[in-house]
Amino acid sequence: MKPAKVMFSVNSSLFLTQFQDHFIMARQDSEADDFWNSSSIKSFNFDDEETGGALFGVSKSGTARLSQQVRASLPGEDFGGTSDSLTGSTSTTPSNTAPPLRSLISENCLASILEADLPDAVYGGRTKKNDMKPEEEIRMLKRQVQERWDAPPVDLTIKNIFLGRPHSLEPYRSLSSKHLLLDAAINLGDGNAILEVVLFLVRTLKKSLVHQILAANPVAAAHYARYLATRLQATELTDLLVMLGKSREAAMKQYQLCTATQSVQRQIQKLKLCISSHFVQGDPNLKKIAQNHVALLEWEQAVGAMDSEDLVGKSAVGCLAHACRLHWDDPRGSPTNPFSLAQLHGVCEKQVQWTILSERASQQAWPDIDSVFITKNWIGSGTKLKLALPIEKVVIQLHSKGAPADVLSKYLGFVDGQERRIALAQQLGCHKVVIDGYAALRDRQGLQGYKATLHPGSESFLYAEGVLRVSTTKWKN
Amino acid sequence: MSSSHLSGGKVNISRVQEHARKHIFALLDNIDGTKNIVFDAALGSVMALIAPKAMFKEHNTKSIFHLHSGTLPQSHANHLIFIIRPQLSLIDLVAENVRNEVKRGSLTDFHLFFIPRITFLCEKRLEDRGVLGSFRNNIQELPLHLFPFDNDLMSMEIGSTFKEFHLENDPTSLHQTAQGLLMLQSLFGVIPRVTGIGPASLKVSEFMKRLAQEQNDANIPPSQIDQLILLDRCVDLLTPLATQLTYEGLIDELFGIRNTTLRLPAEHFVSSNEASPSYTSADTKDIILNSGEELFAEIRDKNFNAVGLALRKKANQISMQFGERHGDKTVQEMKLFVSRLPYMMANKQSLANHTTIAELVQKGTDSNQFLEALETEQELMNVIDTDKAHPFIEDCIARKEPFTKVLRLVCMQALTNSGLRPKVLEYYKREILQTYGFQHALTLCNLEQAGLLRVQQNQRQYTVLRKALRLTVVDNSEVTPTDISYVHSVYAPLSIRLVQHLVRPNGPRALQDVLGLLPGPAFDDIQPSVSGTSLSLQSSSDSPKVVLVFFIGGCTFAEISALRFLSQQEDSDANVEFVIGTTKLINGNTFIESLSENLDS
Repeated sequence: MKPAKVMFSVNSSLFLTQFQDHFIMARQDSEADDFWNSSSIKSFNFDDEETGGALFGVSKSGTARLSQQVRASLPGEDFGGTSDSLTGSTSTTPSNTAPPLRSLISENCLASILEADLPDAVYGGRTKKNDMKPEEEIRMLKRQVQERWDAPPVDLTIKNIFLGRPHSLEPYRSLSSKHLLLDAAINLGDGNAILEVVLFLVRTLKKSLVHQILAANPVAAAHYARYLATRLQATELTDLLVMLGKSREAAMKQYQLCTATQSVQRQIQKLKLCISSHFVQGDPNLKKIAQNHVALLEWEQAVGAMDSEDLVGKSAVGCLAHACRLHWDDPRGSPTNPFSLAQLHGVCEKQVQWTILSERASQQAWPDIDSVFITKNWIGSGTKLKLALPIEKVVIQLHSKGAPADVLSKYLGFVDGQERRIALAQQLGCHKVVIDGYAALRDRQGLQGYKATLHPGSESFLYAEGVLRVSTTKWKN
Repeated sequence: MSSSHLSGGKVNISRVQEHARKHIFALLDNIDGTKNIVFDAALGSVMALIAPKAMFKEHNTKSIFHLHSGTLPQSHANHLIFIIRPQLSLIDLVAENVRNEVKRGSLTDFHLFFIPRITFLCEKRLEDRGVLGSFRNNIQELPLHLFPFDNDLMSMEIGSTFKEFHLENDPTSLHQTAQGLLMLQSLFGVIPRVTGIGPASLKVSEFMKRLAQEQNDANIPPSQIDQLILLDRCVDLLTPLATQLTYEGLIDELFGIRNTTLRLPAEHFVSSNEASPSYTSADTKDIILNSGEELFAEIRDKNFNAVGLALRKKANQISMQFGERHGDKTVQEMKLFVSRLPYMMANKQSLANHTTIAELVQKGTDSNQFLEALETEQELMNVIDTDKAHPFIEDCIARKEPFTKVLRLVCMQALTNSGLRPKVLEYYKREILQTYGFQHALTLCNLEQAGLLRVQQNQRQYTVLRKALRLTVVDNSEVTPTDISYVHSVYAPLSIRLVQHLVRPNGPRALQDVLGLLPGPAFDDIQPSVSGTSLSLQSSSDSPKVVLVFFIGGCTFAEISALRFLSQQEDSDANVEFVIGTTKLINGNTFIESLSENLDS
C-alpha cells in the first residue's frame, strides 16, 4: 500500500530551490557542464514541488524537537564525510567525494528546511512514526541528507516511483546517471515510472539531447508522445514524431487533431494546413484521403447552406445520396450534380449505381433509373443493361422500394436463365413473369402447379389459364 | 462466505476473491464513520464479482453509486469514497462531482482509491482540475489485478492491453499482468514451467522474473499449478474475429455479456414468477451466467446446434421429477420429495430462462444477415476466393452494415489470405472511407499497424498453419464433437491448437516449424521455486496436470469453451486441466472497437 503522497508548500520549495542553487554552484559537476541546460535556475520551478518535496517526506512528526537534535549533532560531524556508521551501507557510491554539508548550506538554512511546515505535521502521516525512537529518526534524516548528495542506485529510485514511495530524481545530475535512470525505468516496464523519468529529462536537458535520447529509446519516445497527445501539445508532438522519423505517425496525429476540431470552417483550414505541411511527402494515398476529406467538407458546407440542411459529418456516399435526392436534375458539371460528386471522390461504379438505384427508387422515379441502367443499342430497337451490380440485387431492391409490376418485369427480363428468373419472380410475386417463364420452357406441369397456387379468378390466374390454352405451344410435358 | 461458483475447480479461485476482499475492506475499515462509495461504471459492475453490495454494507457503507457527470443523489455519510481506474476522463468526472458536493455544502471527507494504482498523469490531472487538495492524503491504491469470473476463469478486465503494447509501445498493463500472476503464485505456489509465444508474453515473463526477485515472501505455498502458458493475442489475430458458435459465445456475440451478466429486455421473461427480482429494473432483466447454475454449466460450452437437444432432455427430466409426486408415496418419500422441491423449482426456473435466451439467440442466428456472414467467414477460413474483393463484403459496405462488422470481415480476409493484394486493400479502404466517413482513416491505420490489415508478403502463413495445425476441420460433429473446431463449426482456434502442443513436455520444440511463421519469440522456462531448487516437473501420472493459460490481449468465450472441452477429454494423450486467465474477455466486435479511434474525445 502506498502512503499518501506528500505535498510541499510553495514556501518550503522556495527554500529547496535556494538550496539546490547553492549546491550546484559548489558542486561543479564536470560532466554536467557540457549538457546542463544553460539556465539551471529556470529548470527548478514550482512544478518541481512534488519531486522536491518528497525528499523529506518520510519525516513524520516532532520536527521541531528533531531538528534540534539534528542541529546538536552537527558540530564535529561532517555530513558528507566518512560517517558510515550513521549512514549505514545504503550508499554505494564513495561518499567522501561529496563536500562537507556546511560548505554548501548554512546551518540556518538547513534548520529552516527541517523546520519547514512539513505537511505531515499538519495532516498526520500514515507511517509508524510513533514506534520510531528519536535516534533512529535522526539517523534516517541524516541518511536522507546523505542521499541527497549521492544519488541512490537508479533501480531503487525507480522501484520507489513504482511503489509510490517518496523519491527524488534531482540527484541524478550527470548525463550518464540520467541515461541509467531511463534504462532502469524502461527495464522495470512501468509506464508511470518511464513517463516521470522522461519528463524529468525533458525538464533538465537541452531539447536536442532529449530528442537524441528519445530517438534511441522508442518506448520512452512513445510515452512522451502519448503524454503530449493527451495534453494536446500538438506542435511539440509533431516535432517529436518528425524528429523520430515517424512522419507518417506525425501526419496521422495532426490529421486526428484536425478531425477533432468542432467548427467546420476551422477544421477545413486546419486540414489544408496539415496537408501542405505533413502530407506532401509520404504515402500518396493518405494525401488523397485528406484532400478528399477537405473537398467533401467544403461541399457539405456549401450544399448544406443551399438546401438548409446539416450535411456536415456525412460520408461521401451519404452526400451522393443527398445529391441524388435533391440535385438529380442539376446540369452535369455543376458541383451538386450526383455524377460530378461521384467523380470528384472517385466513388466506385458499384456504389454510385447502388446509391442512384436506392435513392431514385425511393422517389419512385423509375424513368431516371432506366436512363442510367438501360441503354438502347444504336439501331434503337434492342436494349442493353449497363450494370456493375448483380441484377438480382437490383430487382430485389426495386421491389423493396415498391416498384410497380411493369418495372419489375422489365428488369426481371434481364435475369439470365429462365430458372433463375422464375425463381426470383416467384419470390417477388411477379406472376406474369413466372407464367411467361414456364411457357418459354414449355413446362406445362410447372405452369399448372404454379396456377394452383394462385387465387382462382384473379388476373394472374386467368392469364395462366390463357397461356395454357394456347394451342400452338409445344409443351414438353 | 465465498461464492460457490468459484470453488470446485482444480484451483480454488474463491481465494482470489478472498484476497481482493481483504484488500478492499481493510482500506474501508481504516476509515472511521459512515461511507458512501462511488465506483466508475465499469469498475462498479466488475466489483460485484468480488463482493456483493450487502457485504459493503457490513463495512459501514451507506450507499454505492456509479460515477456520472453531475450531482450525486442526496445521501449523507461522513466519507465519500471514489474508487476508479486511473483514467483521465474519470478524474474529470470525480473533479466535477467533488466540486458539486462542495457547492452543495456537504461536509463529507473525500477519498480517492485507484485500482490498481495512481499514475503520474492522473495526479497531474487532479491538480489541474483543482481538486487534489480536496483529497489531501486520502488517496489510496487498491492493487487488485485479477477479478474472479468462474472456477476456472479470471480476468483483469483491462481492454486496452493489446492496443497499448502493440500500437503505443506501452508495457504498463503487461507489468500489471505480471503482478497479477505473482499474486496468483503467492496463493497457489510458484508455477514451475513457464511457456509462451509472442513479444508480450516474453515481456510478461521477464517482468515476473524481476518482480519475483524483489518479492521475498517466505510462505509461498507448494505449487498447485504445473505450467503457465502465456499467449500474446498478436500470435492469433484470426480467432477473435471468427463468429463464436458456442452457446455462451453466441450470447456474447448477439447481446454482449458483461462481467458474467446478461441484460435482456424484461418483456421476454414475463411469465416467470420469481420471488425476488432483485436485479430487475423497470424494463431489463439481468441474468447471471456462471457455473453456479447447473444447467448453464452444462450447456454453455456446447455448439448452439446441440443446445436445443440438451434443453429438451432437461425438460423431460424435470417433468419426470415433478411427475413423481403422483405415485403412491410413503410419508418418508413425500418428505424427501418436498425437501428437493426448492432445488427442482430452481432448475425449472433456470430451464425457462435458458429456453427463452436460446429462442432469442435462434432468432439472431436464423436471420439472413447472420447466415450470409457466417457462410462468408467459412469460405474465408477455407481460403476460397480470398484473393479478390469479396462480393458479400462489398454488399455489406453498400448496405452500410455496422462498421465493426465490415472491419471484422475485411480483417479476416486479410489474415486468411496472408495479406491482401495491394489493389484489393486500397479498394476496401476507399470504399470504407467513402461510406463511413474519412475520419475512419485513423482506425484503418491502427488496424494496419496492429497487423490485422496488411498487404500480401511472400510467405503464405495462414495456408501453412492451416495445414500444419489442422485449423479447418470438416467432419467434426457439432452435437458430439471430437475436436475443438466445433466452437466455430469449421475452424479450430489457432490459439488453442498451439496450447494443445505447448502442454506437451517437448511442445515448443515439436512446434519449431510453425513457430517461425508466428510473431516470436517462443520460450519454455523452468522457474526456480522459492527455496531455489527447481521443482520436479513430472506430476504423478494419475492426477491431471494443471495448466494456467493466460491470454495477453484478451480471449473469447469460444476459446474458453475449447479449453474446457480439452480438460474433459480424459483419453487424450495429455491429461490436462485448464485454468484460464485473460486481460479481458473479448469478442470480434469489442476487439475491433478496442483498436478504433474514438473521435469524440
